[in-house]
Amino acid sequence: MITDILLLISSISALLGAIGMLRFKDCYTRIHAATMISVGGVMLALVVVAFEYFGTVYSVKAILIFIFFALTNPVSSHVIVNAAHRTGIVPENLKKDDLR
Amino acid sequence: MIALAWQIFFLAAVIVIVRFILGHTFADRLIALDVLGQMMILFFIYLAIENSTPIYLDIALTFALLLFIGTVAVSKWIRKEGVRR
Amino acid sequence: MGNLFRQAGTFLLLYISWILFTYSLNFQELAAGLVMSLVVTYIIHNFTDFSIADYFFNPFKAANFLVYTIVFLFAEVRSHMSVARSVITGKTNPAIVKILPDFKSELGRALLANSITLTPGTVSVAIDKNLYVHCLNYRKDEKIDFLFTKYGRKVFL
Repeated sequence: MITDILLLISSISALLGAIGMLRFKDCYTRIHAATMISVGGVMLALVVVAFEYFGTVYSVKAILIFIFFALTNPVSSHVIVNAAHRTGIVPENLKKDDLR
Repeated sequence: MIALAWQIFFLAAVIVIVRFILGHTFADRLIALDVLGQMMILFFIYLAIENSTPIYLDIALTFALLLFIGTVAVSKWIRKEGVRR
Repeated sequence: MGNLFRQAGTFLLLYISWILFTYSLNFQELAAGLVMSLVVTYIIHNFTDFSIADYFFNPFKAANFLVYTIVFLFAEVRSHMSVARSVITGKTNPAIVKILPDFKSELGRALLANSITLTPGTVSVAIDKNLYVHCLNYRKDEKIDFLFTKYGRKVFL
């Protein structure tokens, strides 16, 4: 029961992130929606697997994938944004800019 | 409940593919490609939950590893070369 | 060479994770894991002057890390709500903010930037001595890094 609700929350979170990627204006705001897909979609689904097969081999494997994903996903996101900023894509309508 | 989750998930994947076609700078396309890879991982996890055969988790792990290496390599190359579009 | 002995914790962590991934106590698996962990540890010790495993085998730091994880979970849920609201209404308020983490260790700054990027709504754009964060909903009165630096100082300093 609780796993079904968590599964539905994960898919709805993936849908909201995808709509956000379509709606936002520039790539710096789009990556927030991408983070929402990867954390709210993939990592929540891994938690669902770890609950559903609790105490078996596969829950251990799901927790290990969870840790691996939590360590590597911010690195790739940061590298993309850093490359975009280095090649001169300016973020739109900023309220405050310390990096200038 | 898993059938409804499948439908919402495929709608989200179609929207991300539209973003990949539309995006006009390289960073938009790279973000969309990264997210498509993560949606592939999500696909395999849903398959593992639906069929109750969690052997698909190995495929998901391998895919996550290769996706991370590929994204970092491509964006480091772009940062060095300075390609704009 | 002295650095190689400091990486014993790293070797132990790699070997434990190998055993968990293969999940068997067969002799061939154990021998292959031993060789691979030794090779990876020898490659790693040229690049790093710290050991990640110091954080996992120290019970005081591990308890602080647990508290940090719970705080991080609440911040995660709250910022998910915020970004979802911003997606539905379409109103954004972006800004790039400078943060001075003043952590001494490289590992502390790296993990702070990691956990800032992992919450949706904030992503770290550049790191030199300071940390430059692009945030989606910027308000003047709210300090975005308050929770992370306050609790992370106990763990990562």
